[in-house]
Amino acid sequence: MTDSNALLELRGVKVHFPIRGGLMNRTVASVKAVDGVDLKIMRGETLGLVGESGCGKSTLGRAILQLIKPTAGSVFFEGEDLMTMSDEEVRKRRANMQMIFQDPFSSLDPRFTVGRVIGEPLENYEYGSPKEVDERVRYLLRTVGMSPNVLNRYAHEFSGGQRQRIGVARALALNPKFIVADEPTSALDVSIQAQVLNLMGELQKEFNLTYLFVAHNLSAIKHVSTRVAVMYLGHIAELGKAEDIYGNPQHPYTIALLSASPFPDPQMEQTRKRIILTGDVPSPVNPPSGCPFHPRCWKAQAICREVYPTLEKKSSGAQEVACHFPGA
Amino acid sequence: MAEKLLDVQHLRTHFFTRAGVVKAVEDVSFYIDEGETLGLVGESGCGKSVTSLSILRLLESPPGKIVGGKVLFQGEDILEMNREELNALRGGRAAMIFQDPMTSLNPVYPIGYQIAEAVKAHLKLDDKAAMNRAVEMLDRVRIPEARRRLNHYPHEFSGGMRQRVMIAIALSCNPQLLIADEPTTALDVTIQAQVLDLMKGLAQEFRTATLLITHDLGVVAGSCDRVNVMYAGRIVEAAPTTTLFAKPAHPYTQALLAAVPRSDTPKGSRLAAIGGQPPNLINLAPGCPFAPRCPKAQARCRAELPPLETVGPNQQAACFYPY
Repeated sequence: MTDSNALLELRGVKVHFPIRGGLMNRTVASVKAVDGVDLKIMRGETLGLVGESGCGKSTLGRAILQLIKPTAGSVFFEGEDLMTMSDEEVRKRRANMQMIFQDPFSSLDPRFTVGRVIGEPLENYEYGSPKEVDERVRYLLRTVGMSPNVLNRYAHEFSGGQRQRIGVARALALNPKFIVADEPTSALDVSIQAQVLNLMGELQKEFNLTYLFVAHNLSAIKHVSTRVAVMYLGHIAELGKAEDIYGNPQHPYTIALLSASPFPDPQMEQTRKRIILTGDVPSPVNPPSGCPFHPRCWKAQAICREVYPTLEKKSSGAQEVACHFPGA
Repeated sequence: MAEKLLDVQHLRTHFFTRAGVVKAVEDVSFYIDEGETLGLVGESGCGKSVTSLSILRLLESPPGKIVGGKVLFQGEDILEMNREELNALRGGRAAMIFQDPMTSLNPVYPIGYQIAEAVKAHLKLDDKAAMNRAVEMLDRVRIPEARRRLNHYPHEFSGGMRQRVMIAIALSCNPQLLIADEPTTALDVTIQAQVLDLMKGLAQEFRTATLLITHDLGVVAGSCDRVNVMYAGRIVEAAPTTTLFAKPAHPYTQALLAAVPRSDTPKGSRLAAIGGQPPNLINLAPGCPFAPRCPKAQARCRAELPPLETVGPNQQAACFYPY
């Protein structure tokens, strides 16, 4: 049985990309982008998914929407497992699950007018007559704070922030319950980022949306998220309420990430102790044994090299953490 | 110190395009003292990168052209230098690092060769001494097994490592001035912290002055002694870092600071977004370029251009109604 408060529930989700080569173009290895993720996303919440490039956060977002078919595991949307459904059944559910992309310059077709960009999902899902579609598109444009007069213009005529609004309007077209926002503000200037974050917050209240907010910007994640999941090398390292993760981080990786993230506050920046990690993120083709963070971890012991720590609540904090020696 | 290391005076750089003249840098003046880190912040298109390229005359021309001003480096005007003097300056006394290391690393040469090349040209070392210097620099930027990696090509390094190789090249000839244009923007936060930490250490060790160009106010808060804020091709505020964050004078600086969630911003609250868009630099209206987006703008702001004036201790702002 799945939890009825959870809109989405992931169990043991793995996404492995094969690397082909050799004589017969056989699979010689695989990139373990997501390597066993269990996660619930509650109705009406914003779950922030944070991590560095290559940790698997974008792949996980896409795997939930079945845009990339997971290699293993289950993805329950409102209690139904998307993994066991036919493509057509998944397509029907997808009206409820939409995506906002990072780069508003490449995610909008340059040959489409704004009206067609936003109207396309409505037509795909047979929303109604052309007149009804047109009315809906106008309504959506107003909802994201744009004038319906821009219907016949093209994406290149707009600035980054306005394009991102168009992307948001398209994601909202089918009245979804769940939206994956993959780095929605990273390509934008700070003053414009604030506009888009504000808009997303308002829409969430108005339409009772559930967000998976994927980003690498820790201050943006902190600002918008109810709960936060920290990802490292295909695994969730720490999961809990935003205030617990930021106030009392448990996983050494989270501690290092928070200490490395620059905050716009000179007093804080100059007084706090920074933990500078050595080395780079290991390759997801050959992840380290045991805990994937152990080669960069200053607390690593013998057990960390051998046993993968399960994600669970420890006595030192309210959140779940995948670490043998959590806490400061 | 009597003489400033770098003294930029009334710099103006324009781009001559089919659509018209883009005044990318208009009347920009600032200085950097020895050993100091100056931040240059602003949003895309504000002219911060063009300013940095103009200083070392690295702009592609046409369409870009420096149409006025002086760039005094140890008293000499870089804008008056001939090609030979420029070559001696660039990579020698003044070096630059870029956002994308692949723009300055040559993909077909091993990195040892690329560091040695700079050292041979500027420090007049022989082959062997130059290679030893390359190893020393790679060690300094904490690239493990430096001697073995001399023969590796740029593509064999990760993004953070390439950035370090570029820093190693830039610092190999002990420059007095380092211009860093968004040096960590493409990097992950833990790697960014490594690189910033490294730059800070090296700047202290060699007394290198740094011009750090960034859009990230967090990076500024952690790395810069003083900050200049640019908007629409002009400097709108200049102040020591702590003053700028505690008491921003220009409404644009205030808006920029309010737009990013800070540690004390209530969760989920509305962020103070700046309405509208930065202006088109081809047909700038008279008056303050920020006036159309400014909550405090008066009739005077739309008619007259406010000069950059002292508004507080060490603090200057180009605004008729500061604070």
